[in-house]
Amino acid sequence: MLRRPTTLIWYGLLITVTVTLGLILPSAPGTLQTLNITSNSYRLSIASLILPYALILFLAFYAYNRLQAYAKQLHRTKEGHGFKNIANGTQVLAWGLALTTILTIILDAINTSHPGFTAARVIITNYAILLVPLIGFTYVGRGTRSLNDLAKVRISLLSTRIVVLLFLIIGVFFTHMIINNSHYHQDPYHLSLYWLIMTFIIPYLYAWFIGILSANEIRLYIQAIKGIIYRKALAQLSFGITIVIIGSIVMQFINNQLATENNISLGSAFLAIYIIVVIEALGYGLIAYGARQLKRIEEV
Amino acid sequence: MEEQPSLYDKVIRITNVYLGPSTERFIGRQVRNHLHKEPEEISEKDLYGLIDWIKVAVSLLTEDSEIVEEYTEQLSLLVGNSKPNKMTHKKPRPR
Repeated sequence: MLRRPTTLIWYGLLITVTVTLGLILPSAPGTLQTLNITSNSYRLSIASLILPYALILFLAFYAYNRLQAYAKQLHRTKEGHGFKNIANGTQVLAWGLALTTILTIILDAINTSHPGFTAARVIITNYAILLVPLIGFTYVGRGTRSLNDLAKVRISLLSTRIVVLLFLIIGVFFTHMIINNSHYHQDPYHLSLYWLIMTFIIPYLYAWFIGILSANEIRLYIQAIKGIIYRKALAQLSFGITIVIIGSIVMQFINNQLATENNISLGSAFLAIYIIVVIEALGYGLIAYGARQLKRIEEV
Repeated sequence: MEEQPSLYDKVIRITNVYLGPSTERFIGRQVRNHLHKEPEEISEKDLYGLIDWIKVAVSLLTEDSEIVEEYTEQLSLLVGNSKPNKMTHKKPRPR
């Protein structure tokens, strides 16, 4: 299915490394107590998450592979630059998903044998996870802006108000949650409030703002262009990008909430993971399908 | 006096309703690959063959046969009528 063999090889390699490390290496200190499970139950849980994780990663890699193939086809056209950036952004999100998982597993294992490593583990993991949407959405945003410039469309006053309102709602709740976590729990981020705001909350809010703006820009582009068949394919791609952006925001909310919980049932943890998996899988699936349809238009 | 649009321009204008930004590339491919000439050189005589190829190609892009019929019908109106008659020119259904 993945026509560029290198993408398939990378996917195979990353999934093999992730699964092997996840099953071999010990969990982070405190995980077993937090989930109230034994080490064997933990391994079984990891094993049961392999399939959905492999699926979401496959869809993410397939989506960026199809988008890159489409962008490559358009490289000498006006739209080529925009789609290339969107493809690059999707690639960053796909690779980020895989690499941050591997990094988390490795750092958790190091932390098991070096208890003093906890603060470094948490800080490195948090910043690594933050970098993914920050870089990914910036690329996607550059692409959607470039398409808007081509179609000579600009965000309307009503759309601006909706985007700002949506951003404020998400931003205020996220800031409240992080500061609340930092204040009432045992320093879960291992950062002072100033550093937390400057290097964690603000970059996240910036990334999400770019993400929300991109989702709106691609919607504007669809409204501005002609082509019943073309628009239908592009709408699927656009819907997929929007869902991936929403999924990324939901994932951060859930991650940050779970990070401070001292006592979570395995069922709740699974439910949270499956919500993320379903959202992201749907988003990447739509991106792949839309990109495939668009590429087909350029082939027949 | 305003210059009359060429047959190629008319084909592009109709196709744009269905294929948007990929219109020129799509028509370019159909003409070059199947008629073996430059897109701007198409004549009314070429149009019959071109419409058949376009019908096959667009059927691969959408399962909505109404769209395919509507599009090819629009193109057919160009045959033998270098200046499309607005009265007989069926308007694409709104979407």
